[in-house]
Amino acid sequence: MGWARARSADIPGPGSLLSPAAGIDPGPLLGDWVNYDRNTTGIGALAIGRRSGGIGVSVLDAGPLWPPEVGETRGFAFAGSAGEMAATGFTACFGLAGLDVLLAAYLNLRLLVVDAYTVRPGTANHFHRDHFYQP
Amino acid sequence: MTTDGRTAPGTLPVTAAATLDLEPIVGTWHATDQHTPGVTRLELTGTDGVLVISARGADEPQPRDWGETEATCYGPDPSSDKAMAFTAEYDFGFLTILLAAYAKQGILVLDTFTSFRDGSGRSDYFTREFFHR
Repeated sequence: MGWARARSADIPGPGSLLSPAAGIDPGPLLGDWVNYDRNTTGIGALAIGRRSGGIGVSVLDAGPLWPPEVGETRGFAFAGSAGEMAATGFTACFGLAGLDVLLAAYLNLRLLVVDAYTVRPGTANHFHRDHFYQP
Repeated sequence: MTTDGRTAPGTLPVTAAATLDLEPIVGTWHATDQHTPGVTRLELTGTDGVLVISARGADEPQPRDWGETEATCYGPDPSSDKAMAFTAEYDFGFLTILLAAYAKQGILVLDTFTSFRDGSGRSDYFTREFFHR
């Protein structure tokens, strides 16, 4: 099949299951996640839920890098390859008073790694990494 | 930045990195996996305080040139003066690719989030790739 591609990885391998209607299965991402580092300055705990058209990402607890009230934002799930269905990562953007945060996250053997890229006027843009597990 | 749907799942405002020293991350970065099906090379240049990315994707008979895109840079904390990470996006119409990367101990770790726009049924997918200078 003559799929358009930007690199070889865009072409699903043989035997891949493609289903435009089904979409990515967010199952592996769903639930509550707790930070291993109880003294983090970033996100202390977050929750990922299934939402119409994708996932919702909520920050339940956070350190001083975040404002007191964060709430939920829409997230986007990503699979491990173009021919897989199970989610292995997600992105989400928070547009909060005074700052914008991009979360770029992935699963590694049930460890959720969340990288936060923050743009904040008056300070340097900064990067922060947290690691989460499901209790 | 938008959270309204499929147009830009991970973009942030591109801001000038005038307050961050780009030296720690500029240069030509090569994939540690010589047989990678992903990004084979990244050229990072600083122009007037703005980081510009030039990427190549694996393809046959030769890597595919993605052209240039501007990036947003990040330090390790709000008071830092040196860049150690960046985000950027490529939009090829049929797909978009969010690049999110950080440098650590001489290695550049690149996460890519690819979203298909062509109705081909392919899954949006994530990769994690490693580079050296």
